[in-house]
Amino acid sequence: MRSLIYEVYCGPPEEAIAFLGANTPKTTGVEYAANKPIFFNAARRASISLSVFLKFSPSSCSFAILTLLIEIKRIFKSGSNYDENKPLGNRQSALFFRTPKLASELEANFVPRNSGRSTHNRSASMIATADQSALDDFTPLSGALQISENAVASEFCLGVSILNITTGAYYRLEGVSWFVWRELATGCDFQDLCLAVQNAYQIDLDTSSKDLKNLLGDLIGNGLVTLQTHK
Amino acid sequence: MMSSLQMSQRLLRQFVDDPSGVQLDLEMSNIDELWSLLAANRLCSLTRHDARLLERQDAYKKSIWSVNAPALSTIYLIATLLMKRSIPHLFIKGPLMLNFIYQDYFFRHSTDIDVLVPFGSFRHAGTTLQEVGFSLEPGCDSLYWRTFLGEQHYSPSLETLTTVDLHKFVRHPSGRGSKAMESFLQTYDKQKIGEQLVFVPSIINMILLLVAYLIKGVMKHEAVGCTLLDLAMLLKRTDGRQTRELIAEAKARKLSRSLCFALRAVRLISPLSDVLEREIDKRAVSVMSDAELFRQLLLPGRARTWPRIKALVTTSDSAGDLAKAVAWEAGRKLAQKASDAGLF
Repeated sequence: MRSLIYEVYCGPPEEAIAFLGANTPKTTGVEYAANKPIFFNAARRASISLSVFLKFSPSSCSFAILTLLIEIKRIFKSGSNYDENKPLGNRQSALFFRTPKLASELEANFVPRNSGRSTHNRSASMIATADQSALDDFTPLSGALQISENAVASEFCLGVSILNITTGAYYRLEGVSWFVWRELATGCDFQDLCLAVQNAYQIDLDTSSKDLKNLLGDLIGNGLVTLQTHK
Repeated sequence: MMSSLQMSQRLLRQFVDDPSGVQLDLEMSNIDELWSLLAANRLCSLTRHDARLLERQDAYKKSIWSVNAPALSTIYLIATLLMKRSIPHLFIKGPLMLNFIYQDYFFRHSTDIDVLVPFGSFRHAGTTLQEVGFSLEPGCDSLYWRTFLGEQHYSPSLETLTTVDLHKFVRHPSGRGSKAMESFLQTYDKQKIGEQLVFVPSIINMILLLVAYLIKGVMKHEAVGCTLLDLAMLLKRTDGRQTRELIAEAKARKLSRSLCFALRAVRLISPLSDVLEREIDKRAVSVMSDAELFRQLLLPGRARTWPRIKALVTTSDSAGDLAKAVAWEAGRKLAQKASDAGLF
């Protein structure tokens, strides 16, 4: 059985270490071995707002590795140092890769870093399970896209912070993805969105539709956006 | 030149008229003072995006997000829980009310959530919260908190949630919030949060609650500009039938004079309907000048004490109520001292 877990990580690397467990190698770069987590410590591009966390079985292994490589390539393109004072989306972030067995162990051991209340910026690690069939069925050209009723959002610091009320998970979108969120708020379909991004950022249609498909897949998978298919 | 108090009055008027936000056409030196006053009254969100204020507007919104998002998660969690256990409850104040009034869950800070439950369900609701990881805050379990304040605070075990203030009555400064206050639970509305419906006070009850909080704020030297704006926005959207219902309900709960006091305050920033104007004239609750009243509400530190005492006297509907209020307040102070000394 295949399953995908989307991990949206909006915190500093040390919190990632806490999430993964004390034995996680603190490497900057990529390390991979069977049943061993990869901890990748780098900044991500603003337009890629959601990191991907994959849990897979051997049958979907190739897909997982491919996605991982794409993500690594994107992350290498950018690169800024971690800064506590920067908004969440600009922070250096982590990309994780782990096997199902390890995942269950790590989740059982996860303890939030801060237990007190804070009036400052909150970092959070969270997991939202994406419905594989929903992603498989996702055909971006065939329906109206809407922000989900379960997504509560607030715009500040050149971006939008979103709470999925049912899971309690937090998300942050900045740059192009913030622009996309604003377009989604007005109600649109995939084609409208591609054209809007193309016009606003002077990106060719092929690139913008590819990136948008990834972003929308994440947003739909995490229950922030709904796709209403035409009958 | 206008003082920051006068300027804030003008801004409030503009906002009630057009809630899309107001533009500050001021020198930066004046903005600093005005911003402090707005911040003290939790009113900074009424300003429109301004390049000169961008940094502080962003910081303000960010800090609201950091407390209101956990508050919303908590509401979603415990609404489900209380409904499953069939415990009657209402979410008073907080982000749900903000969304109802301003269509924005993040209009101002909600550092905790307030839940009103009936007398008989108070303990059951507390136990239910404890079962899902909330713990009673130290010192909250005293007789003073349970009897005089009628509320208990439960802290969450996770940082993604926030404190729950469980109330068994709504305390009004001119008398104990007795079982009569349970009438707030009898008529309610439902509001959607995500895909779930949660229970909130009806618009009439919401107004009466805000009336009580406005007077409570004046008595306790608190800046209550945000409550004043809430009231003005709610009154603006009530129709003729609701206005008559409001007057009747206030009378039934012996809150007529309190309502008139609050209406006089609202009139400073928003015009009232003829029916409400006539209600003010009937009760003749005139305890201080308009300028002094506005100062008491927004800048209590610089306001005088005597008008505040007069307000307490004049917002009681009868001499009996006033005597009860004074006795209750004296008893509460004694109980607080006894509680602080660890006697109970």
